[in-house]
Amino acid sequence: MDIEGAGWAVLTQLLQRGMVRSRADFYRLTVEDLESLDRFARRSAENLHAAIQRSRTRPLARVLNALGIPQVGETTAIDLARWIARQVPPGEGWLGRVGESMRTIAREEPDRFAEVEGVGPTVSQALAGWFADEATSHVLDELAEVGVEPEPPMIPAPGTGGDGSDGGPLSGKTVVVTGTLDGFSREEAEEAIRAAGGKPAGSVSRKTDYLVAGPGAGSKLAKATELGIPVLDEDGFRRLLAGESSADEATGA
Amino acid sequence: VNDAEAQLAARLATDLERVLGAGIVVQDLEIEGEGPVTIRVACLVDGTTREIEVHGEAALDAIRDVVRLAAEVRLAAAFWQMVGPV
Repeated sequence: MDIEGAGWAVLTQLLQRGMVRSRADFYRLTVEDLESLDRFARRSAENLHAAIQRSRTRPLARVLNALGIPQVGETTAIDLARWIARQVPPGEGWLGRVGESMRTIAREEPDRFAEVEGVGPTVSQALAGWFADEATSHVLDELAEVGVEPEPPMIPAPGTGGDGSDGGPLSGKTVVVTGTLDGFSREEAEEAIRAAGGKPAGSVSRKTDYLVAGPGAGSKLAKATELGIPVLDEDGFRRLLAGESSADEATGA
Repeated sequence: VNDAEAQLAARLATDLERVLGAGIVVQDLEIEGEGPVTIRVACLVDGTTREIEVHGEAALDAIRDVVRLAAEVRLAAAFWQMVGPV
Protein backbone atom coordinates (compact mmCIF):
# COMPACT_ATOMS: atom_id res chain seq x y z
CA MET A 1 0.00 0.00 0.00
CA ASP A 2 1.22 3.49 -0.79
CA ILE A 3 -0.31 6.70 0.46
CA GLU A 4 0.74 9.54 -1.74
CA GLY A 5 4.44 8.99 -1.28
CA ALA A 6 4.44 7.40 2.15
CA GLY A 7 5.30 3.82 2.86
CA TRP A 8 5.90 1.53 5.77
CA ALA A 9 9.54 2.63 5.78
CA VAL A 10 8.47 6.21 6.43
CA LEU A 11 6.36 5.16 9.37
CA THR A 12 9.18 3.04 10.72
CA GLN A 13 11.45 6.08 10.67
CA LEU A 14 8.84 8.25 12.37
CA LEU A 15 8.44 5.66 15.11
CA GLN A 16 12.15 4.97 15.54
CA ARG A 17 12.98 8.67 15.78
CA GLY A 18 10.26 9.14 18.37
CA MET A 19 8.44 11.65 16.17
CA VAL A 20 5.21 9.69 16.49
CA ARG A 21 4.17 8.12 19.77
CA SER A 22 0.42 8.44 19.53
CA ARG A 23 -2.27 8.91 16.89
CA ALA A 24 -2.45 12.60 17.72
CA ASP A 25 1.25 12.97 16.84
CA PHE A 26 0.42 12.33 13.17
CA TYR A 27 -1.25 15.72 13.17
CA ARG A 28 1.65 17.49 14.86
CA LEU A 29 4.11 16.58 12.11
CA THR A 30 5.33 19.49 10.05
CA VAL A 31 6.57 19.48 6.48
CA GLU A 32 10.05 20.04 7.90
CA ASP A 33 9.71 16.99 10.17
CA LEU A 34 8.77 14.85 7.21
CA GLU A 35 11.47 16.32 5.00
CA SER A 36 14.07 15.32 7.58
CA LEU A 37 13.34 11.63 6.94
CA ASP A 38 15.78 9.62 4.85
CA ARG A 39 15.12 9.74 1.12
CA PHE A 40 12.21 12.13 1.57
CA ALA A 41 12.30 15.20 -0.65
CA ARG A 42 10.42 18.44 -0.04
CA ARG A 43 7.72 17.58 -2.55
CA SER A 44 7.03 14.17 -0.97
CA ALA A 45 6.98 15.76 2.47
CA GLU A 46 4.47 18.36 1.31
CA ASN A 47 2.27 15.70 -0.29
CA LEU A 48 2.25 13.53 2.81
CA HIS A 49 1.63 16.53 5.06
CA ALA A 50 -1.31 17.54 2.85
CA ALA A 51 -2.72 14.01 3.01
CA ILE A 52 -2.48 14.08 6.80
CA GLN A 53 -4.28 17.44 6.95
CA ARG A 54 -7.06 16.18 4.68
CA SER A 55 -7.58 13.18 6.94
CA ARG A 56 -8.70 15.47 9.78
CA THR A 57 -12.22 15.44 8.38
CA ARG A 58 -12.58 11.78 7.41
CA PRO A 59 -15.72 9.98 8.60
CA LEU A 60 -15.98 9.17 12.30
CA ALA A 61 -16.24 5.46 11.46
CA ARG A 62 -12.77 5.60 10.01
CA VAL A 63 -11.38 7.15 13.17
CA LEU A 64 -13.13 4.55 15.33
CA ASN A 65 -11.85 1.75 13.12
CA ALA A 66 -8.31 3.07 13.48
CA LEU A 67 -8.51 2.83 17.27
CA GLY A 68 -7.93 -0.91 16.98
CA ILE A 69 -10.49 -1.77 19.62
CA PRO A 70 -10.50 -5.57 19.93
CA GLN A 71 -13.48 -7.14 18.13
CA VAL A 72 -14.33 -3.86 16.42
CA GLY A 73 -13.81 -4.03 12.68
CA GLU A 74 -14.90 -1.75 9.88
CA THR A 75 -18.59 -2.69 9.91
CA THR A 76 -18.92 -2.36 13.67
CA ALA A 77 -17.11 0.97 13.51
CA ILE A 78 -19.70 2.23 11.00
CA ASP A 79 -22.57 1.03 13.17
CA LEU A 80 -20.95 2.48 16.29
CA ALA A 81 -20.49 5.85 14.55
CA ARG A 82 -24.15 5.94 13.59
CA TRP A 83 -25.23 4.98 17.07
CA ILE A 84 -23.09 7.54 18.86
CA ALA A 85 -24.15 10.24 16.38
CA ARG A 86 -27.70 9.68 17.58
CA GLN A 87 -26.59 10.03 21.22
CA VAL A 88 -24.28 12.99 20.67
CA PRO A 89 -25.48 15.54 18.10
CA PRO A 90 -22.72 16.59 15.68
CA GLY A 91 -21.50 20.16 15.93
CA GLU A 92 -18.68 22.10 17.46
CA GLY A 93 -16.31 20.00 19.52
CA TRP A 94 -18.10 16.86 18.45
CA LEU A 95 -15.19 14.41 18.68
CA GLY A 96 -14.39 15.50 22.22
CA ARG A 97 -18.03 15.11 23.20
CA VAL A 98 -18.15 11.69 21.55
CA GLY A 99 -15.11 10.62 23.55
CA GLU A 100 -16.60 11.90 26.78
CA SER A 101 -19.91 10.17 26.08
CA MET A 102 -18.22 6.87 25.27
CA ARG A 103 -16.31 7.02 28.55
CA THR A 104 -19.42 7.83 30.54
CA ILE A 105 -21.35 4.98 28.94
CA ALA A 106 -18.43 2.59 29.50
CA ARG A 107 -18.25 3.57 33.16
CA GLU A 108 -21.91 3.90 34.07
CA GLU A 109 -23.97 1.89 31.59
CA PRO A 110 -21.59 -0.49 29.78
CA ASP A 111 -24.40 -2.74 28.59
CA ARG A 112 -25.69 0.09 26.42
CA PHE A 113 -23.04 -0.69 23.81
CA ALA A 114 -25.17 -3.72 23.00
CA GLU A 115 -27.71 -1.24 21.54
CA VAL A 116 -25.34 -0.76 18.58
CA GLU A 117 -26.60 -2.69 15.58
CA GLY A 118 -24.91 -6.06 15.27
CA VAL A 119 -23.13 -5.78 18.61
CA GLY A 120 -23.50 -8.69 21.02
CA PRO A 121 -22.20 -9.19 24.55
CA THR A 122 -18.60 -9.90 23.54
CA VAL A 123 -18.15 -6.80 21.41
CA SER A 124 -20.13 -4.71 23.89
CA GLN A 125 -17.75 -5.81 26.61
CA ALA A 126 -14.73 -5.02 24.41
CA LEU A 127 -16.06 -1.52 23.73
CA ALA A 128 -16.81 -0.88 27.38
CA GLY A 129 -13.39 -2.18 28.40
CA TRP A 130 -11.58 0.00 25.88
CA PHE A 131 -13.41 3.19 26.74
CA ALA A 132 -13.12 2.55 30.48
CA ASP A 133 -9.38 1.87 30.33
CA GLU A 134 -7.32 4.90 31.36
CA ALA A 135 -4.58 3.83 28.94
CA THR A 136 -6.83 4.07 25.89
CA SER A 137 -9.98 5.98 26.67
CA HIS A 138 -8.57 9.46 26.00
CA VAL A 139 -7.41 8.88 22.43
CA LEU A 140 -10.45 10.62 20.95
CA ASP A 141 -9.86 13.66 23.18
CA GLU A 142 -6.24 13.79 22.05
CA LEU A 143 -7.32 13.71 18.42
CA ALA A 144 -9.88 16.44 19.10
CA GLU A 145 -7.17 18.56 20.71
CA VAL A 146 -5.04 18.45 17.56
CA GLY A 147 -7.97 19.53 15.42
CA VAL A 148 -9.39 16.27 14.09
CA GLU A 149 -13.04 16.99 13.24
CA PRO A 150 -14.52 13.87 11.72
CA GLU A 151 -17.46 13.95 9.40
CA PRO A 152 -20.64 12.63 11.02
CA PRO A 153 -22.26 9.59 9.44
CA MET A 154 -25.38 9.91 7.36
CA ILE A 155 -28.19 8.88 9.65
CA PRO A 156 -31.16 7.54 7.72
CA ALA A 157 -34.58 8.68 8.79
CA PRO A 158 -36.83 6.06 10.37
CA GLY A 159 -38.65 4.03 7.75
CA THR A 160 -36.17 4.69 4.97
CA GLY A 161 -34.54 1.32 5.32
CA GLY A 162 -31.08 2.34 6.42
CA ASP A 163 -32.14 2.29 10.02
CA GLY A 164 -32.87 -1.42 9.69
CA SER A 165 -36.52 -1.03 8.74
CA ASP A 166 -38.01 -1.75 5.33
CA GLY A 167 -38.74 0.84 2.71
CA GLY A 168 -35.40 2.36 1.61
CA PRO A 169 -34.78 2.38 -2.12
CA LEU A 170 -32.10 -0.26 -1.68
CA SER A 171 -33.74 -2.12 1.15
CA GLY A 172 -32.58 -5.73 1.12
CA LYS A 173 -30.38 -5.20 -1.94
CA THR A 174 -26.71 -6.06 -2.22
CA VAL A 175 -24.66 -3.59 -4.23
CA VAL A 176 -21.05 -3.80 -5.39
CA VAL A 177 -19.11 -0.72 -6.46
CA THR A 178 -16.14 -0.95 -8.81
CA GLY A 179 -14.00 1.48 -10.78
CA THR A 180 -13.79 5.21 -10.10
CA LEU A 181 -16.80 7.41 -9.45
CA ASP A 182 -16.46 11.18 -9.83
CA GLY A 183 -18.82 12.12 -7.06
CA PHE A 184 -18.18 9.40 -4.51
CA SER A 185 -15.16 7.93 -2.86
CA ARG A 186 -15.54 4.19 -2.33
CA GLU A 187 -16.30 4.80 1.31
CA GLU A 188 -18.93 7.43 0.50
CA ALA A 189 -20.60 5.16 -2.04
CA GLU A 190 -20.79 2.36 0.50
CA GLU A 191 -22.17 4.70 3.12
CA ALA A 192 -24.80 5.93 0.66
CA ILE A 193 -25.80 2.33 -0.05
CA ARG A 194 -26.17 1.64 3.65
CA ALA A 195 -28.13 4.85 4.17
CA ALA A 196 -30.53 3.75 1.44
CA GLY A 197 -31.09 0.46 3.22
CA GLY A 198 -28.76 -1.65 1.06
CA LYS A 199 -25.74 -3.74 1.81
CA PRO A 200 -22.43 -2.92 0.12
CA ALA A 201 -20.34 -5.94 -0.85
CA GLY A 202 -16.81 -6.36 -2.08
CA SER A 203 -17.28 -9.04 -4.69
CA VAL A 204 -19.82 -9.97 -7.35
CA SER A 205 -21.83 -13.14 -6.91
CA ARG A 206 -25.28 -14.44 -7.80
CA LYS A 207 -26.49 -12.69 -4.65
CA THR A 208 -25.47 -9.29 -6.02
CA ASP A 209 -28.43 -7.14 -7.03
CA TYR A 210 -26.54 -4.29 -8.71
CA LEU A 211 -23.04 -3.48 -9.81
CA VAL A 212 -22.13 0.21 -9.88
CA ALA A 213 -19.29 0.54 -12.38
CA GLY A 214 -17.15 3.59 -13.03
CA PRO A 215 -14.16 4.00 -15.33
CA GLY A 216 -11.48 1.42 -14.68
CA ALA A 217 -13.92 -1.36 -13.82
CA GLY A 218 -12.40 -4.72 -14.65
CA SER A 219 -13.11 -8.27 -13.62
CA LYS A 220 -16.13 -7.40 -11.47
CA LEU A 221 -17.82 -5.81 -14.45
CA ALA A 222 -17.07 -8.86 -16.58
CA LYS A 223 -18.46 -11.19 -13.93
CA ALA A 224 -21.61 -9.10 -13.41
CA THR A 225 -22.23 -9.10 -17.15
CA GLU A 226 -21.71 -12.85 -17.26
CA LEU A 227 -24.21 -13.36 -14.43
CA GLY A 228 -26.74 -10.94 -15.92
CA ILE A 229 -26.56 -8.56 -12.95
CA PRO A 230 -27.80 -5.02 -13.65
CA VAL A 231 -24.87 -2.64 -14.12
CA LEU A 232 -25.30 1.01 -13.26
CA ASP A 233 -23.18 4.00 -14.15
CA GLU A 234 -22.84 6.85 -11.66
CA ASP A 235 -25.98 8.64 -12.85
CA GLY A 236 -27.95 5.43 -12.59
CA PHE A 237 -26.58 4.90 -9.10
CA ARG A 238 -27.69 8.38 -8.04
CA ARG A 239 -31.17 7.80 -9.43
CA LEU A 240 -31.38 4.50 -7.64
CA LEU A 241 -30.29 6.07 -4.33
CA ALA A 242 -32.92 8.72 -4.80
CA GLY A 243 -35.55 6.07 -5.45
CA GLU A 244 -36.24 7.68 -8.81
CA SER A 245 -36.08 4.60 -10.96
CA SER A 246 -36.36 0.86 -10.91
CA ALA A 247 -33.32 -1.33 -11.45
CA ASP A 248 -34.12 -1.89 -15.10
CA GLU A 249 -34.63 1.78 -15.80
CA ALA A 250 -31.46 2.66 -13.97
CA THR A 251 -29.28 0.23 -15.88
CA GLY A 252 -26.93 2.59 -17.54
CA ALA A 253 -23.68 0.86 -18.36
CA VAL B 1 8.68 -26.93 23.07
CA ASN B 2 8.28 -27.66 26.76
CA ASP B 3 5.24 -26.77 28.86
CA ALA B 4 6.77 -23.58 30.24
CA GLU B 5 7.60 -22.31 26.75
CA ALA B 6 4.15 -23.21 25.51
CA GLN B 7 2.53 -21.33 28.40
CA LEU B 8 4.74 -18.33 27.82
CA ALA B 9 3.89 -18.31 24.12
CA ALA B 10 0.18 -18.54 24.91
CA ARG B 11 0.38 -15.63 27.35
CA LEU B 12 2.34 -13.54 24.91
CA ALA B 13 -0.14 -14.31 22.15
CA THR B 14 -2.97 -13.06 24.38
CA ASP B 15 -1.06 -9.88 25.21
CA LEU B 16 -0.28 -9.28 21.56
CA GLU B 17 -3.90 -9.76 20.57
CA ARG B 18 -4.86 -7.05 23.05
CA VAL B 19 -2.12 -4.65 21.94
CA LEU B 20 -2.54 -5.19 18.21
CA GLY B 21 -6.33 -4.98 18.37
CA ALA B 22 -8.80 -5.62 15.58
CA GLY B 23 -7.59 -6.03 12.04
CA ILE B 24 -4.10 -7.33 12.83
CA VAL B 25 -3.64 -11.07 13.03
CA VAL B 26 -0.75 -12.89 14.67
CA GLN B 27 0.23 -15.48 12.09
CA ASP B 28 3.19 -17.03 13.83
CA LEU B 29 4.96 -16.75 17.15
CA GLU B 30 8.26 -18.44 18.03
CA ILE B 31 10.20 -18.33 21.29
CA GLU B 32 13.71 -19.77 21.17
CA GLY B 33 16.19 -20.28 23.97
CA GLU B 34 16.10 -20.54 27.75
CA GLY B 35 18.77 -18.04 28.78
CA PRO B 36 19.15 -15.48 26.06
CA VAL B 37 15.84 -15.57 24.26
CA THR B 38 14.80 -14.78 20.74
CA ILE B 39 11.16 -14.05 19.96
CA ARG B 40 9.83 -13.82 16.43
CA VAL B 41 6.31 -12.70 15.65
CA ALA B 42 4.72 -12.50 12.22
CA CYS B 43 1.57 -10.45 11.98
CA LEU B 44 -0.71 -9.74 9.08
CA VAL B 45 -1.48 -6.05 8.57
CA ASP B 46 -3.65 -5.01 5.63
CA GLY B 47 -2.69 -8.12 3.70
CA THR B 48 1.05 -7.74 4.31
CA THR B 49 3.08 -9.75 6.79
CA ARG B 50 5.15 -7.63 9.20
CA GLU B 51 7.78 -9.34 11.30
CA ILE B 52 9.01 -8.51 14.76
CA GLU B 53 12.23 -10.09 16.02
CA VAL B 54 13.62 -9.41 19.45
CA HIS B 55 16.60 -10.79 21.39
CA GLY B 56 16.76 -10.52 25.17
CA GLU B 57 18.93 -11.74 27.99
CA ALA B 58 15.80 -13.04 29.69
CA ALA B 59 12.33 -13.89 28.46
CA LEU B 60 10.69 -10.98 30.29
CA ASP B 61 13.02 -8.45 28.64
CA ALA B 62 12.27 -9.86 25.22
CA ILE B 63 8.53 -9.94 25.88
CA ARG B 64 8.54 -6.30 26.96
CA ASP B 65 10.29 -5.31 23.73
CA VAL B 66 7.94 -7.42 21.61
CA VAL B 67 4.92 -5.76 23.18
CA ARG B 68 6.44 -2.31 22.61
CA LEU B 69 7.10 -3.11 18.95
CA ALA B 70 3.60 -4.54 18.59
CA ALA B 71 2.23 -1.23 19.84
CA GLU B 72 4.24 0.47 17.09
CA VAL B 73 2.73 -1.87 14.51
CA ARG B 74 -0.70 -0.92 15.85
CA LEU B 75 0.14 2.75 15.54
CA ALA B 76 1.44 2.32 12.01
CA ALA B 77 -1.74 0.48 11.04
CA ALA B 78 -3.76 3.33 12.55
CA PHE B 79 -1.86 5.75 10.36
CA TRP B 80 -2.89 3.85 7.21
CA GLN B 81 -6.47 3.66 8.41
CA MET B 82 -6.72 7.35 9.21
CA VAL B 83 -4.58 8.94 6.52
CA GLY B 84 -4.64 6.38 3.73
CA PRO B 85 -6.61 6.88 0.53
CA VAL B 86 -10.39 6.61 0.66
